[in-house]
Amino acid sequence: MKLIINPITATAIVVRFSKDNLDSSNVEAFREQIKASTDNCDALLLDMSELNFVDSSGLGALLATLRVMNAKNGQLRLFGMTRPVRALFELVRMHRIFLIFNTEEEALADLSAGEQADK
Amino acid sequence: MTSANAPLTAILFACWDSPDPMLQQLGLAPALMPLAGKPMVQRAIEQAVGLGCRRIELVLAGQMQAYELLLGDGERWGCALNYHYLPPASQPVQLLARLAPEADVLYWVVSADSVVTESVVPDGACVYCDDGQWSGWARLSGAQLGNVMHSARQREHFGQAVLALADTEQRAPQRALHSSSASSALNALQTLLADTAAMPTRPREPGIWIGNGSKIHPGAILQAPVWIGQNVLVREHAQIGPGSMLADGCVVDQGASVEQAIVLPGTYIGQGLHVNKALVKGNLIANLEHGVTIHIPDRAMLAQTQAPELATRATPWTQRLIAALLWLLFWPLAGWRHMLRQSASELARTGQDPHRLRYFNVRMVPSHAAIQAGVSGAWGAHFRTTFYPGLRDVAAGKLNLVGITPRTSEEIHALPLYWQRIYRRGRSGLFNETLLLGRAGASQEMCFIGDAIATEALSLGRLLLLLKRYFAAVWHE
Repeated sequence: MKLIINPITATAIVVRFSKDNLDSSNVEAFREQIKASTDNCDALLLDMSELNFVDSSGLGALLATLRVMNAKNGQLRLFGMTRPVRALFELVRMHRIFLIFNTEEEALADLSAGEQADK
Repeated sequence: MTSANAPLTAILFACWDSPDPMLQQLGLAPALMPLAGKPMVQRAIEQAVGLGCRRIELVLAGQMQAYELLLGDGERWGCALNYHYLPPASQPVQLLARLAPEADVLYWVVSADSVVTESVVPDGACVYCDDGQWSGWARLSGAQLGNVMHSARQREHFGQAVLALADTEQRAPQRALHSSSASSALNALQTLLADTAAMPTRPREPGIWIGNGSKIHPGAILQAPVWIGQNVLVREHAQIGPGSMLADGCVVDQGASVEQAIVLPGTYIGQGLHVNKALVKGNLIANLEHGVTIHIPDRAMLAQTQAPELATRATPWTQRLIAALLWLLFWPLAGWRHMLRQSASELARTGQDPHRLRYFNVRMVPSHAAIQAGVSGAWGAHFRTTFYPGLRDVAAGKLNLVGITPRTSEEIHALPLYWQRIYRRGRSGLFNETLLLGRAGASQEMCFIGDAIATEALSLGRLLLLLKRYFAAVWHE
């Protein structure tokens, strides 16, 4: 699993998955790589468009990422979720925990709106 | 509702796959979709019988066993039920030849995944349709049936051919239920739940049906209308309904919610899950809102509750060792090899009993039947054609030395459900204790008890005793 990282501002980055699955076979690699990103940004946008399958370990890793960002008052947004992953999130009610958007633009717009509101 | 000229025969097609990819991924035959305690094919049969049919011709493309176990011979509905197999490679006109409909006689022609109701049924030929689509029921003459049978490979083509028939009245049904797709099945469930009169049992409370043996925690919430089958477990803080069905044997764990969903038999729904607008079968969930079927490998989330009916045990090493020794012991009798080849080729021509529920080595069937029938020379033939060649399979661990007697599906259907399971999963053997009892010595009940014992691990002492009796029978012949 290799994450593709694109900084978009000084404190916000977009992370894309290079594989279509996040499961027990690559979740450790995901945790290691995402840690570097969470340490160096205040806003993390995860592009879920490549993912077609996430198992419970993958869900756990995403939750852990959210906890880390929340602990440092950071932001985590998910966007571009495929239908199977979206159905899975609704099954485990994680769609109420994460902020999920259809496109990168919508996620960025929400991020900007949140920053404006904070100011 | 029926007239003096009402058709006496209905032809039910349960051979069509669902065009819905979600149902296909669930591996569910549309006609076998259980809705509020009854599969659609059963509802279709009951509807046909209610319309005056006394003979049902059921056309299948597979899962013969499942339909046979479910429907039997139709006696419980007071009709004769005949099964017809339409293999994928065959031509439907061959089926027409078997059905042999009379040209001027009317028949109900039905898709077994649908039920339509109407208060007044016309006398002549008619087709029920909705929005230009065939509703799955039609009343056609034998001649008309012959004109559309060439399209019987696919439901859609068949429906178009039926609608295109001349001299048939097209009617809209008062009510139509379908299970050909996931969404239509869910809609059908909502329709049934709203019609108390259509339910086979009385509700425990208005809009809530709970089957025998089900345990609902006092802390669980049931929102009508809800159908809960038999032996279902709903734990505390679970929310079921509205508009949901939990089929027999389901388990809904703490805090889970099931809303507008069909949960198929034996499904476990894990803690805290939220099932909405979906069909769930084991660890597969077809989500209608997103139009996808997803596989959940984590058994703590979704799983099939029912374990395999009987675990197939590996052949014990003692049996394998004994089989290897016996094979070596009788090897010097090389002349038998010629007789074995001859016998095997003779037996290959006889084929298998089509009523068998389980697959056996083809060599076993005729010789075993011959012993049961008391045919002279049958023991010797059994030893040459079944026992000795089979010793290699036992030594290789593929077969048991002592196992289950092959039986016809009619015999097995007559048994209690627990006994039936023995024949589905128990391993077969070269011979069985009941074979040694013979026809004169064994009652039917003793024979089935012998089969049950054969599925358990035999002690070495008993195995040697049975071998001794077997060789004594062969020697004395």
